[in-house]
Amino acid sequence: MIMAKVFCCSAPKANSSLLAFLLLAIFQSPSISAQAVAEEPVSKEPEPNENREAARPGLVLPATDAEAQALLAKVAEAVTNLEYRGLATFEHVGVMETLEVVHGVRNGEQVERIRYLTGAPRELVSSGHDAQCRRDGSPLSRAGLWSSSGLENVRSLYHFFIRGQERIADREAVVLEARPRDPHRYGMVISVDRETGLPLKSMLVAPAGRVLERFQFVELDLAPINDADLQPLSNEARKSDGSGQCGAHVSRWRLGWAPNGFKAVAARELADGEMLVFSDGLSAFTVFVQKLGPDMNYQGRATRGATVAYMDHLEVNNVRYTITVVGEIPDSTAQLVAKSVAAKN
Amino acid sequence: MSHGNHQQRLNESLSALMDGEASELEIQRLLKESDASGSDLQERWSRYQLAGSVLRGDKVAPVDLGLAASISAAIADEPSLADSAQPSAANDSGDTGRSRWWRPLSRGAVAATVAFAAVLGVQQIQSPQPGGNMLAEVERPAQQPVQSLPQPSSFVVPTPTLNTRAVSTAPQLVPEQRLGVPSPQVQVVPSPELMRHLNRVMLEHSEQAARVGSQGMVPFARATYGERPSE
Repeated sequence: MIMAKVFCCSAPKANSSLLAFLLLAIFQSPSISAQAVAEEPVSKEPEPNENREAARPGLVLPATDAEAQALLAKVAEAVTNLEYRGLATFEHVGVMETLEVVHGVRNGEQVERIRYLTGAPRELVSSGHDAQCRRDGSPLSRAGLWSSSGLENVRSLYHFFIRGQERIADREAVVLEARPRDPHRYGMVISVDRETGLPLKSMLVAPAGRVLERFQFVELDLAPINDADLQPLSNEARKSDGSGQCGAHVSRWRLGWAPNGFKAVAARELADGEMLVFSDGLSAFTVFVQKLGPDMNYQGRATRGATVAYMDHLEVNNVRYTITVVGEIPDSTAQLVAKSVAAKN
Repeated sequence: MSHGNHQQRLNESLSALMDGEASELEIQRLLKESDASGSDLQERWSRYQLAGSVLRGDKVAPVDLGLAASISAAIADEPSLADSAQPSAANDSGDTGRSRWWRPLSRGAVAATVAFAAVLGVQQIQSPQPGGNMLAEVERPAQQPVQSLPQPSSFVVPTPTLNTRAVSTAPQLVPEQRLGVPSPQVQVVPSPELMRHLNRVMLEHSEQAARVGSQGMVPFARATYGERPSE
């Protein structure tokens, strides 16, 4: 009733545009856009068969399957195999910091060095991951993510839109938005380097359009990386070796509920418990179940920038376990996940 | 009747969840419901999302067919274009002022109109609640839209905590509310053990996420961020 009234009051000029909006809106509906076809396919490669359908002339579809697929595949390739170094800004927790990042590939494995140039000196050298995970064959590992099945999963969870172009770090970029189809994950806006596919800027976006964090290159150098560039500059640099962390640890915990599309991608034993990593292809959260003693009885959430940690506890056979769900997911989702942790059997 | 009550309670829970204020009881209820008939619950979520999305000024939003149909119905009820060429005169003399107000908005008004309708729909299915819940619902869309341009104003600047030694890398804590006690959310000064634990899990998570994800450097930036070398 009220709705009709509102429409009655609108001026006639608005009427025609309303119709136009409706037309767009109808063709935007998930069921149809899932089969939408590229008007101008961006890739020269043959498209998957199921995408063959008559093009709809005159309609501007935000991101066709072919476009989104090509872009995402390019991103996955670039973040894995491209060597680069650069300066970047990271806005987070309401402040902006600058950092130096180096990405090299050694013996098929990725090596990253990250050093903050502002605030307290912090540096991380990370190496040795990916090879193990790839062998593990997880559909959501870096290598497997953008396979056809991985991509299918991501597309059923997010709408993809091409938002235009912009220039970042003196390079041309295509702006891609991934908007979640349900409230259990955040959206992302990624500006993808036109030439290499490297994300030059990425933002994490909460439902109301609030930007939670923004990572953006200021300067990018694509020259091959020397070994010296991967050596830590400060003595306090933390080293993280990921070898063997994608092993087949069998967890004794399970989730009674997880948001649609999130799958367990890694499980690891810790000194005082275990951690389980879940990913939907773009977002990830980790469930920690630990024996931390009775003092760690905090119940609630803690946030830092886009990352939330929701803490709760669980008693099994009179043993108290602290549960912490950490991730770049909405608070309420972390809470739901924490409540659903249970022992197997 | 009891079905209606159940539905109403679900809606309230859903709304609370959206505001991040759902109690334990409400969460259990939603969990149970999403198991039983997930699609209905999800559809309602979509509508919430849509309302926000359109209000943000996105020109094209994924609209579900249900809403589109109801808008179509609204249009069908309207006088035809020819009839409404002289809009307010025939309709309602009291509306003259309003139509003058509407007209210059032209295209922008369309998006706003649709969004308005969607928000009204959302509010109608909620029963009025004491407290600021409804207000929060109305205020939400007023937030800054997503832009690809720099927009520092949309970052929430953390309020200073009581702990003067707290540094910016420290997580902010919001303890779980006691059931049925709508106490204001307060910042707690966490114990050093709790802080260490939170730092550790956030770091472990970020590193692991960097290994499974495809986000490039961002998780690494997060993993390095919270570190504080020897205190």
